[in-house]
This record gives sequence, C-alpha cells and structure tokens, in this order.
Amino acid sequence: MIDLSPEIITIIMLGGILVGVMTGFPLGLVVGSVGLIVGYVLLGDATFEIIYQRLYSLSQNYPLLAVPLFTFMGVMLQHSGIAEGVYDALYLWLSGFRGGLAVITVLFGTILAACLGVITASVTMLTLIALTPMVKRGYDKALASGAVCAGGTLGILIPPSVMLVIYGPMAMISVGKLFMAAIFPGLILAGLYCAYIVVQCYLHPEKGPAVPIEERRVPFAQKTKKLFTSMVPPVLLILSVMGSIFLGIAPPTEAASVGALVATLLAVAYGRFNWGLLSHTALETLRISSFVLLIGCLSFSFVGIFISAGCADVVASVIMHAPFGRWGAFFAVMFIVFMLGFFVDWIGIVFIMVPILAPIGPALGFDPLWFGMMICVNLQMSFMTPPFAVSIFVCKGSAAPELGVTMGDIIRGIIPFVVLIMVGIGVCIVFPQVILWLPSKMLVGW
Amino acid sequence: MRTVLRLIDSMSQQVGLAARWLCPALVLVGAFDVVMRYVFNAPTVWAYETMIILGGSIYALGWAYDHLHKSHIRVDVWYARHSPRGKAISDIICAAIFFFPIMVILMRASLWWAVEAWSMGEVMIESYWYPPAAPFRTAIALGICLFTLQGAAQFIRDWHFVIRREAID
Repeated sequence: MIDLSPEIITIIMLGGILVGVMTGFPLGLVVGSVGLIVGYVLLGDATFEIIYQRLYSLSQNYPLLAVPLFTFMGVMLQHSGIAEGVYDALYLWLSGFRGGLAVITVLFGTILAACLGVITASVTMLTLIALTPMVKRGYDKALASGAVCAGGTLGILIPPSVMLVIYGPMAMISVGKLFMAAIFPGLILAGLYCAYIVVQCYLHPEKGPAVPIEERRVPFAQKTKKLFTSMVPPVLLILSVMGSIFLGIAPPTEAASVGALVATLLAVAYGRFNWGLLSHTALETLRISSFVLLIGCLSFSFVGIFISAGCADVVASVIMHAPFGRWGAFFAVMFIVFMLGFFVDWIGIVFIMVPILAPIGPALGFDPLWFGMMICVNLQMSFMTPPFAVSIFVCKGSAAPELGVTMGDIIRGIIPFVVLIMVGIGVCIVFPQVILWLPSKMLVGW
Repeated sequence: MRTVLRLIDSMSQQVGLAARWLCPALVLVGAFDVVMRYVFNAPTVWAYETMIILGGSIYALGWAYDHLHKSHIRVDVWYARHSPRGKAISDIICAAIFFFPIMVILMRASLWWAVEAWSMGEVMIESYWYPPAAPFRTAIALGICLFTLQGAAQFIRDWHFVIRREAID
C-alpha cells in the first residue's frame, strides 16, 4: 500500500485523534475510526479483521469485569444511606474548627473514594451533601468548591477505583498491586488537602468560619457512638474488598463481586433496598460500563493498528531521547499525560496512551508499578484542568443554583489543589517507598 | 418514517432494559464462585467464562441504549456551545466519517463470525470449560447491529432537523 514513514503515521494518528475528538462526536467512535482510516491506507482489507478481533478480545477481558462490578457496588452504596451517616458523624466532631467543614469534605471524600470507585459519583455526592452546608455557613465559595472537586477526585485514585482497574490490563500489571500501591499516595494527597485548608483558614478566618457551639452541642458519648456506628458499614465493606485482595483470598474481579453483593446486603440492612433500587442500579451499571467499554474496545483496535504501524516505537524513541536522561524522559511522559488531560477524557487517555507509554517506564529502569502510579496520580489533574474538566462540570451541574457558585469560583478554588497534586507527585518521586511498600507486603501478586 | 424511527428507539430501549438484568447476574455468579471455592472448597469450572460472557454482553447490548440516551462520552468543550442546529450539522458530518464506515465494517465482521461460530461449533478457550462461542459472538453482533441502527436513526433525525428546522417527533 502507500509508503509512509512511521514518524509521519504517528503524527497523523495522534493528530487525527486530537482533531477528531474536538468535534464532540463520541470519543470511542472517533478513536476507532482514526485507526480504521489509517489502517486501511496502510494495510488494506486486513484492517477490518484487526478492528473486529481486537474489539472482540477486549470485550472478553477478565480483569475489566471489575468495571461493571465496582460500578454496581458504588451505585448501590450511593443509595444505601450509609454516606449521610458518615457525614453527620464527621460534622459533629469537626465542624467547630476553623475550616472544619472543608476538612470534613476532604475526609468524607476520602471515605467515599474507598467505597464508590464510580466515575464522578464521589464528586456528585460531595456536591449534594457537603457543598451546601459550607456555602450556607459563609465559607469562601472558591475554597468550598475546590475542596469538593479535589476531595471527590480522590475517588478515582483511592482503591477500589475504576481507573486502576482499567490501567492494570492496559499496562499488563496486576490490578491488585495497583490498588495497594494507590492507598498511601491517596492518603498523602488527602493529608495535603486538609493541611492546606487548615492553613488557609488559620490565615484568613473569614474563609472558613467555625460552626457555633450551640448548633453542635451533643454529649461526647453520643458523638462517639455515632462515629462508630456510622463507620462500621463502610469499614466492613472496604475490609471485605481490599482485605481479600491483600490477603490473597480473591483477585480484584472476584473481590468486586463480593463487594457488590455486600453493598446490596447493606442496603437491605438499612431498609433502603427495593425492586426499584435494584433495577436502577442495574441500569446505571449497564449504562456506565457500556460507554466505558465502547471507548475501551475501539481504543484497543486503534492501538493494535498504531503498534503494527510501528508508531509505538516512534513514540518510545522520541521520549527515550528526551534531554536530561531518564528523568527527562520521565517528565516528558508526565507532561504528555498532563497536557492530554486538558482536552481528552481520562478514559480515552488510559485506554489509548497507557499501552503506548507504560512499556517506557521499565525500559528506562523505573519500577512499572511506581511508573504507573505516577501516571494515575497525574491523571487526577485531568479532572480539574479546564476546558475539559469532569469534576468542575459535575460540581457545577449538581450544585443547587441558589448557592450561587459560579464556574469562576470553582476554577479559582481548584488551582491550589492542582498544585498540591504536583506536590504529591514530588513526594512520590523523592520517596518511592510510599508507593512500593504496601504492594511488596502482599501475599499473592494478583 | 416516524414509525421506523420509533421502532428503532424502542428496540434499543427494550434491549438495554432487558440486558440490565445481566448485571446482578454477573454479581451473583462472581460471588457464588468465591463462596464455592472458600466455603465449600469446590470451585466451579463454569463461573470464569460465564462472567466473561455476561460482561461482554452487558457492554455490547448497552451501546445502542447509551446512544439513544446520548450517554456516550463526548469531549464537548466546543460542541456544547453549538446551537441545536449546529450540533445536528456537526453530528451529520462526523457520522459520515466516524460512525458509518467503522460500524458497517464491524457489523459485517461480527455477523460473519457469529454465523461461522454457529456453523463450525467454535468453543471459547479461556478455561477448561470450553463453552460454545456462538451465543457470545451473536450477542456482540446484535449489540453492534442495534448500535448501527440507532446511529442511522439519529442521522435521519439530524438531517430532518437541519432541513426542516424542527424535530421529526
């Protein structure tokens, strides 16, 4: 067929995606079609079979089954009434401090993150539950919405997270290890967020006034009881999922099935379970996993053609020849992921770029697990960097209009948290043990 | 024409609504396998591939449903700012480039493989269970065909909207 150098093909394919995606047509279709068109020019009719077989093979990927399973678990939990109890308990304990409500938001986001794992579900819940009290108490709107977006975005990093479920098979590393690796970076980010909020509110008390004592006077014993009773269900769930992965009882997909079942049983225990909830959960699961996997299947087709055209080697060699040695190359990868995050949905980035970029890590002498985790931490920023920033849209979309939170407030509020993520990345670079210690203690490397 | 469009819509809708029950089934099969293995020490041969079949069917049978409800992810930085007519024009052009070619090819290949799987008795080889591949290949082909039909229905609606400046239904 037509003879083009792999360098030119690489530019055409990646450029084609960026331009095509900007049309606003469904992402997966654009990516698959760019693969089809370029593939047809290079390989002719053989492309058709490649496209179908790659789609067919990804639709049978066992680790990716955790996407529908964790989605099921998350949607079920979202409606089980567990979350509100946790928020109320935290409120009683911490609202009396300056900036307390914003700290609660981040802590609550961290706990939700460990329960939900559904795309954007934590941001939605945080906006609905935590944003209103903050704005009503006169918190700075930028700080409040920043805390909601940043706290909610932890949901895609702290396991069980759908992003890690997808990252694993795409980079051919174990999802279970990724889960364990993500725990400490997630907690460190949560800690940084809280520290930032506390310092801000200490310096500017008007940004986060304390809730007056008479509105939260509850006996100590009652407060303690509330904290324990509300924490038991989520802790039980997290332990059943993460514990069984860590102890080697079940790989993530099976742990996810158990988690989904436990979540359903918790909904039964809370008296929230009914036919309507089950049917709603099932339909949401179908809807979400279906659009995720459309992008997945067609990106997998694209990547098949991209690799067979020799383009992955081009990308690798360009990055490997970055100045300043292997750290230069590392920062080049981080920069690419960061820049893509402004314009492309993270699902697309993980399905398209991870198969291409992940092999570069080990080739440079980095631990693949550490390298992958750095990309995942980095990808959190893609949720918060406009113009295409999922967290901002979701927060704006689900905030009650009478709160008067504007797009400008949210964007101003988010900037410091994006900087904090960069600080978090710095911490993980200086202390790689943060990422690597826990996975090394696992009994079975799922 | 309206009748045909509504028929396509209701097919996508009904298939999606029916396929959602595969999700709780997936949860139950997965959990059942774990319980059998650890509580009764009797792992099943069939759970692994049953889950794969259920999962793949969930994804594929939801595509048309998602398209009907405009749930597929779009990078709508600029798209969201178009007028309804602008969106329709953009979708018509994009469908011609990014939808019909790939879907027709996928439809042809998936149907061919579904027929082939039935006639030669292809089996799935991920585990030692060796179930027939034909039902799964058929589910994928069905999902792709419905998705293509739903896209065609959307395409006709967009044309109608651009020319007549009003929605067809």
